[in-house]
Amino acid sequence: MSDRQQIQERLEEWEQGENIGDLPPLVDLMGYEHKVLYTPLDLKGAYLDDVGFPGQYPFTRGVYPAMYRKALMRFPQYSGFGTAEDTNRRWKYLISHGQMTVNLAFDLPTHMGLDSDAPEVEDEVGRVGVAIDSLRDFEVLFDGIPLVPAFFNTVGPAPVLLAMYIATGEKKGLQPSQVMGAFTNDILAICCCRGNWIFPIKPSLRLITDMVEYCCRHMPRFYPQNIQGVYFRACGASLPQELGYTFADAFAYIDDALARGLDIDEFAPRLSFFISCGPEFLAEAAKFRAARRLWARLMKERYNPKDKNSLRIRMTSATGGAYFQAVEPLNNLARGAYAILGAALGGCQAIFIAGYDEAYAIPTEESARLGLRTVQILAEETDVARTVDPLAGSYYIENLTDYIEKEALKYLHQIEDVGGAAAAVESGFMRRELDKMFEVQHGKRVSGEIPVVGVNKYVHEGEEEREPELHEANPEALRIQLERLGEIRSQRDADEVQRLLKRIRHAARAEENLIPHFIEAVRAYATLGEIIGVLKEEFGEFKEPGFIF
Amino acid sequence: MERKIRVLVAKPGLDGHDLGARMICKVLRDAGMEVIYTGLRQSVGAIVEAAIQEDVDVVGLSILSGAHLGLTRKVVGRLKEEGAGDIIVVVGGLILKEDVTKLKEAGAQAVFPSGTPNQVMVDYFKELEKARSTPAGEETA
Repeated sequence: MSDRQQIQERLEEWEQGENIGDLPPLVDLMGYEHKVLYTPLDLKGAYLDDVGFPGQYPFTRGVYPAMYRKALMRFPQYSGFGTAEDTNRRWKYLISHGQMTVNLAFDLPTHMGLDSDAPEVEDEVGRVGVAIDSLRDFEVLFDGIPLVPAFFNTVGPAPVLLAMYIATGEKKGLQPSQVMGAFTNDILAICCCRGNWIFPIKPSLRLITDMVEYCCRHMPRFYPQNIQGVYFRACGASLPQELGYTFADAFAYIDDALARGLDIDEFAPRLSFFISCGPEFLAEAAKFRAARRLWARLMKERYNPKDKNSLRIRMTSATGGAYFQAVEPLNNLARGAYAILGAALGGCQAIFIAGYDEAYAIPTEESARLGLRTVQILAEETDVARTVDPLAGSYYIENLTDYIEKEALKYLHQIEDVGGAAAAVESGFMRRELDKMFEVQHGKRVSGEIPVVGVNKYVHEGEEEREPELHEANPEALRIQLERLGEIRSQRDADEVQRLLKRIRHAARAEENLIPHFIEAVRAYATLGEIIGVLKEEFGEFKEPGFIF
Repeated sequence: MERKIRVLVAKPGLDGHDLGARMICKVLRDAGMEVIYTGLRQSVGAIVEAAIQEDVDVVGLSILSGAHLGLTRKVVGRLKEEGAGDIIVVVGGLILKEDVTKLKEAGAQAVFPSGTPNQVMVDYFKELEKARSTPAGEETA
């Protein structure tokens, strides 16, 4: 009798002898049935084809050969609020605590391409992020801070903010080729479920490809397109659904860039991804492995790149928003710590956590520092980084990896069957699918089927807890921004600004790459609102799909 | 005869988070209210105009950006200016304890911070419904 047959026999004996069949089945939100026990019988694939070596196709074990043994993950805490001075101070605080990159949070008017003096935005200036109106704000933002790799999490104003970042680099004596960082630029995810779009999809894709093209030609150290799964998860997506929809978006951007005439190997190596992590850290680790293998396989199959770098999926992961609770907020410190285990065991390149007080306000110095420390402690004090892909070979993890890969592919096909990501977003299809999942999840949280400690399980009835010490908005933020806008308007060459805005309008119509025009305009202190205003006139605004309920 | 309560669920300002608003639309609809959803990023003027045009009883503002005090004051104020001061304004979202009183002072009749159980909100609207209905047996001429 072979080994496998022996194991099979013994397994059946064990299952019957221990009445394993009496236990209720356990099926999770992605439809995966978790067995009580996994054995070598559950290992299906071939090591060399399906698991392989890190840094080599299909990259299941890691995008780089030595992974954390060569370089630990980065920990870019998302931060920004008030004025550029406020944010500059917070960044210096985080940098002095060992954060080596910055991850910019912008306020809502900036996301919408509006200046701080736009009508009806006064309540929102500097609230959820930093207010940016012109290059002057960027100069203050990076004052005394070297141009460390900066991650920009916004889409609508992205090309103009990139221009400001390049111009800021110039002032620090840097060529565009020396500027490091990454931009979100995922308009499809934004239009689906983040709610801060500006332009319709077609002109948005054009702007994105302008940025990708510009970065490919001039900025080898800048990643112009970071594709985001996090919002799908926040809106209810299961783990494989997050991957499938994210990949659908990615292929939409790739196809657009190829149609523009870019070569796959010019920009595919410059893509990066932002994927959630959550409490099911074992499944999450499997998800990241599945993501690497599926991406590599699909890229090979669809585009046949020559450069190995085009097959690698670099991932940043974060947890927070959708997962953290308002009840007993300090519990979120534990939630964050457990969730990032999945990202680290799954081999992500950067990891960060929302503030434990996320349910109440944007982070204080202390809650930002705690988030940063949590990742640093994971990286430096635990043994997650001692060897590459430590969970490989686990019967359970390999099984989960296979399952998630298959399911993610189904979700990708689901979107492609309705015409691709752009069509799925415009029609509202993608959001409706997510709504269905969210309702199921929400129902299970309300019923207690999904336990949430302190909220629906082990609930403590008694005196209400004090709210934690919270971040206070800067009451002067609006006044300072308005003053600054007044200053630059009085100091700049108004005619020059008008001329450059006209050039932008012309280039928008002529389908020229707009980035060089934005750079010139921001150098002359044209404001974000002025530039985006011209584009809104030329491109129109995205129409939100109706909500049928 | 009970008149169904008509609710305008509105997203004022620039906040793009609509999970809560979308959920409350379904919850209230399932509880028997007539619900209209404005969609994201509505100006104060657009919300007030919709409220009047749709002849709603309640405007429910959903705000997670922290801008709730200013926005609530403006919506309440504009409703009064337009002669629709009888329309009730309630607010839900990311609202700190200390702001609940301030919101009520600003004219919000009820405040439902994130995490408020759906049933609490449904009960509030059902109370409104009861208060609005004509008692049985009392016919209007």
